[in-house]
Amino acid sequence: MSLLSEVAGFWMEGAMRTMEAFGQGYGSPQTDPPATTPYEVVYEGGMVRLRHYQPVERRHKTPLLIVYALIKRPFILDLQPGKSVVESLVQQGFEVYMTDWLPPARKDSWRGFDAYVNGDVADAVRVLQIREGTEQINLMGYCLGALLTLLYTSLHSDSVKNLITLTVPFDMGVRDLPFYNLVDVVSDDAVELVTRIYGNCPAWMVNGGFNLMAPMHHALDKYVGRYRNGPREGYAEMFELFEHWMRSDMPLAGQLYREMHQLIFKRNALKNGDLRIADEVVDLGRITCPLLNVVAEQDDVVHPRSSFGLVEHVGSEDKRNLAFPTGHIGAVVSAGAIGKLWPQVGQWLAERDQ
Amino acid sequence: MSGTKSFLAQELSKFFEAAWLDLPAEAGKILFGTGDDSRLRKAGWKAYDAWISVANELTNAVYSDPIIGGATGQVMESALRLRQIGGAMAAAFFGNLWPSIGLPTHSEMVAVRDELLVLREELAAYAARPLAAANSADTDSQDALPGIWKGAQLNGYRATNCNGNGMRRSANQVKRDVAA
Repeated sequence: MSLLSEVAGFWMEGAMRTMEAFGQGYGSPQTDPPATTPYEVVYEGGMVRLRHYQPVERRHKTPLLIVYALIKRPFILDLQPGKSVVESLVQQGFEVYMTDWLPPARKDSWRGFDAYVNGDVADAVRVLQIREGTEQINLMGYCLGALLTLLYTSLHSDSVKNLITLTVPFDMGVRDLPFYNLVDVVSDDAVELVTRIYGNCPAWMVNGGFNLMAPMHHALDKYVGRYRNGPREGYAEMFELFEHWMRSDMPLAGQLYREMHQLIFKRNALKNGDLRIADEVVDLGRITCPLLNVVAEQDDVVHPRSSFGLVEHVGSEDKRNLAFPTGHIGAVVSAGAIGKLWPQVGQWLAERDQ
Repeated sequence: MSGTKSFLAQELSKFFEAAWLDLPAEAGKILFGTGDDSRLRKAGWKAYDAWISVANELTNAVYSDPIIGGATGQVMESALRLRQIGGAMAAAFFGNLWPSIGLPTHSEMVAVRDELLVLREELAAYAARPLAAANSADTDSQDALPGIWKGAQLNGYRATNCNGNGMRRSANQVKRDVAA
């Protein structure tokens, strides 16, 4: 009886949170939990706000810019002490900057890859160059952010010293995740209708997409997991934070949604070399800087096989895949990733700092 | 598809083993006084986990089915078209009605809402400033900054300068660059 009533209680709380998020418009920056690692906002322009995290003791010359994904709030990268990628990197002595993407309003529906890559990411890089007095920076992207860094590096290769892509959706011709079959059945007309009706792809639709990837987990299993792990120290707090992040979806700008769906997912244009941004072909062969492609072996959002092939398409001589036995989100929050993966990433960067 | 079916068969066999053999066996032991609660609980969770795996595989099978996929796509598109037609009809009807009785139209409300969101963002950024300004109160004047930043080649650059120190350092670097 205790099991049923407790799970029902957790389920009701979850339902209330979802209703509340739906009413408030999901990922509003004002509702972020307090940051684990202190930062200052050093730039705001376009749809990006740039955060600066100072290292505990600076040990590396080249600053690092983290480009976060556009669809949820970035606090997952700085979730809790001991479970924070940002904290790990500043403790390793890196000067860290991170993009905090602002939710696009209807008037921003024109924004596509060009606005985000040649506008916002390029501006963020320029701020680092000016602040740090350097020509080249280290660039790292997570998920959709990794895709943006890849496009940026291909178009502006001179500014990037080292590139790290984490769980990058590169080869979207891979259909190993059954959910992707649903992406195939959404026609170009349907995408046009979404952008015509809502302007952007609404946050609730983005959230619905995530829930559809694992419906049983979101409908029941996570609440049962909350009950089963209840006695574990810190689990309840972590669960709350994680749930907060799960409903922090942001709208995807209309043009970007169109380009992602039609060019990246359906036509696999990046891998096929057909992608053009502002009339310029995205040629991955122009990426010649060292590349570390971090792949989560149990990733159920971007299949590992969608990421692995990237190294074969870039022009770099110094390039490698780093596979780690974790999931898409585990790569940035799990104790194993924070303890083992991120020191390796830091080491890779440190060796290429000269 | 055949891969999905074989996975499903595996998960089903695990589920039947856990739910119809292991669990009743542990419950029987409790009845005869030879079992213990912890083993029964463990068998129960094993059966639950196996059931979740079956449900996940069934979901995957549904997603992989081209007929169900095609129908889902059709339903989605139809729902969107209905939503568009409904929106257009409501706009045609209320678009004339509201202004005649002095009320705003939907698009005007959307525009106001968007503007409010932008203002909320700006207010939040502004609210974060007093603390930061206090941190940098002991430092020199920032009057020269805007002029210096004009030199930077940025698209729509706006320096928020939360505590001043970092911006000043970089501004000096820019000055040095310009001098060089």
